Amino acid sequence: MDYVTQIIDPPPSRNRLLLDGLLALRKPKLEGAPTLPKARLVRSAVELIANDIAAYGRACGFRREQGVPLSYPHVLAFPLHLMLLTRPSFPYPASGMVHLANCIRQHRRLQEGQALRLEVFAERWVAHAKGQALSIATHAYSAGELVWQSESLYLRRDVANPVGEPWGDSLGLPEEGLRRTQRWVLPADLGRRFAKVSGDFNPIHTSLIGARLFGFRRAIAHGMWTLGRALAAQQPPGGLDVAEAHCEFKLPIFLPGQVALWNAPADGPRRAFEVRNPAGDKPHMRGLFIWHPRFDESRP
Amino acid sequence: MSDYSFSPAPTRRVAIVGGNRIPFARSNTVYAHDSNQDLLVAALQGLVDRYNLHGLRLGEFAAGAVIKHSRDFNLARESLLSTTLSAETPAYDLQQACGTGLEAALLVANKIALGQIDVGVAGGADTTSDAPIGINEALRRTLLAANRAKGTGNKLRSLLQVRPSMFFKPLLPRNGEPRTGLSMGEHCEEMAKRWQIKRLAQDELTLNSHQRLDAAYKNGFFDDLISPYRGLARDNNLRADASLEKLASLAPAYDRQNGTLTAGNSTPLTDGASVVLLASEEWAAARGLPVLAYLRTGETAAVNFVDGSEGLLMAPAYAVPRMLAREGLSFADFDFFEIHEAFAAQVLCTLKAWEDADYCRERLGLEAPLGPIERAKMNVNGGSLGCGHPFAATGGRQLAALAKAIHQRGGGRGLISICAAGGLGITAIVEK
Repeated sequence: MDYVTQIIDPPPSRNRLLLDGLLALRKPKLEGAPTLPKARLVRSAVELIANDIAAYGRACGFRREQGVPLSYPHVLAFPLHLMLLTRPSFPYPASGMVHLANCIRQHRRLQEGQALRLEVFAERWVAHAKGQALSIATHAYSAGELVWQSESLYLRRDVANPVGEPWGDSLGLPEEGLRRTQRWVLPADLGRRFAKVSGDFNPIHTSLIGARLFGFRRAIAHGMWTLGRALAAQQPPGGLDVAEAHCEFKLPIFLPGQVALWNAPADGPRRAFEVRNPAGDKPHMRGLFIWHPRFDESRP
Repeated sequence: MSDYSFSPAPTRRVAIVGGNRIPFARSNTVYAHDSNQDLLVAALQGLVDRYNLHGLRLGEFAAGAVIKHSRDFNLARESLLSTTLSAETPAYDLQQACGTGLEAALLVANKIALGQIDVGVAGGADTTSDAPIGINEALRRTLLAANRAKGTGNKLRSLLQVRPSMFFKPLLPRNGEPRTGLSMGEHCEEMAKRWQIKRLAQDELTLNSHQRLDAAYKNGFFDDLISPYRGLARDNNLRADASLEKLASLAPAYDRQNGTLTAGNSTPLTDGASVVLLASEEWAAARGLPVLAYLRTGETAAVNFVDGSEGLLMAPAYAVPRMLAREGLSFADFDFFEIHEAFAAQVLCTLKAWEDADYCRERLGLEAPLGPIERAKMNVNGGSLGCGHPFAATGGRQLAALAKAIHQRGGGRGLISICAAGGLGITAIVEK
């Protein structure tokens, strides 16, 4: 597919994005198959700013020695995701798109102060049992080299006869053998705290009224916060070189609240994990975290 | 040969001359208005009084507290200045979670063994009644930013970030592992499940702890180990009338559905302090003080509990076989076992681990299991379940009680084992 590359400079303001989101609340009913947005939105040099990373890290529980969080570039690319979803030509209302899954691959260690070229484009349609899903790709380049990429799957519910390849449970995670290893207490203002460091001011995360407007009884934790928290909790000491994180978002986490991290005990440099409710019988997130060890972790 | 070469002096035996503690009190009871320093001063002054150390300059006083305010940066030194010891006695703080008291004793003992000092006091105090409460983290960051800002205008601008809500959400000390967010009880509950420790076995161990502590008080065992404080003459956690029926009636505390740990078979939050007097044999002889026992050696260990591959409180299981191998000893060579009872379940997990051939081979690298411990030799004068557990004060309590038990027996050998937060464990051998 031929993409039309559009340089975004300066980045859209928070108010612009909120307004576009409001304007995109209603869309005419789509006749026939949806067409894939052709735009490739590009920011040519986004700096990894130490103070911003530190604030993001604090919100998610990363420690400074863990370096640039694996999930951090998503924050920088998210305004571009939103721009893509709120374009007039996009067939569905942006507010109805549910973040279903995310898959991150890092190829090289990221450094504070480094500038990244971010490219965001709609990759493919995916046919999901619950509706039409869309995969948005994010590529981050440094000095011409792809250093980080992600695939974000967004779902529009209740679309009959969705197009694209069918969605499968790609993670192949173990159902059994996970043990509770951590518990997190989530304060009521977690959504607002994460909004400040992520720039995603979606009202379902930041306010009770906003959440009620969209059918939730209380504000819910941001899925990318949950992923960040899970990665922070499981990342070995030191920064990551080559690493992957895959996750599927399940039931929403209401704020304030408590959740527990369940994972499989030490099995080399990979962890299958779930974030579950306190009773441990309902999943909020299922995921897989893989990293390339900096030394031989298998030695006795 | 270089002018600077020297031959290190041979190491010497370290005598445990005596110990002193104040009775331990459940949190928010009789010591509710005492600080760590108040408690430590009481324990240390009691020791000075008993052994007539007034005005003496000792080699050093090493002590610590686990739950400590930043203003108590010199807790040991400040405490010492409030006693009748010579103000020329140096002091320092240390902290190794529940291992603080025993680690302090090992540090002082090692200096005595090396001839750097002749006599020293090791100790620890903890209060969870007078716990430090920090200001709200957001407020703290805002105030620090204002402090960094240059110029009045910038400072005021920084202070405008202060929100009224920041004043009503203080930072409370957490009773949980920083890296897991789980309380120690929850961690121990996981261990109990992994090792299939029955509720009844935990309650029996708890009952034993109370009964033996009560008997020890009745026999006068603690007469020269404890100084009464604030009208308290014995540990107020001790239930002389405890019974299996009463213990069985308690609800699980950490896992209400499937749990086996209760408020009865877990140690409560406790306030207290303890100190131990350590010296060279020459110093003790010169003062005319009998030697209760000798502190032979110690060993610390740590386990990776963060990823769940080992239980939080299992480090002593690793420290003990390492220490025994180093010293060429086995369980059969011991007459006493002083195992800190953070939870009855944690003691039983450790004992079961030492009897488990697979675990001993795979985790501890032993050809044969260490074997069982004779229960009649374990915590003969009661344990933490009975008297309570003021974190940093437990090591000193155990060391003094074990030394006295060995002295009473006319000689023998004992093992101390303490598990601590952060997956730490500390153990020691005492003998005469």
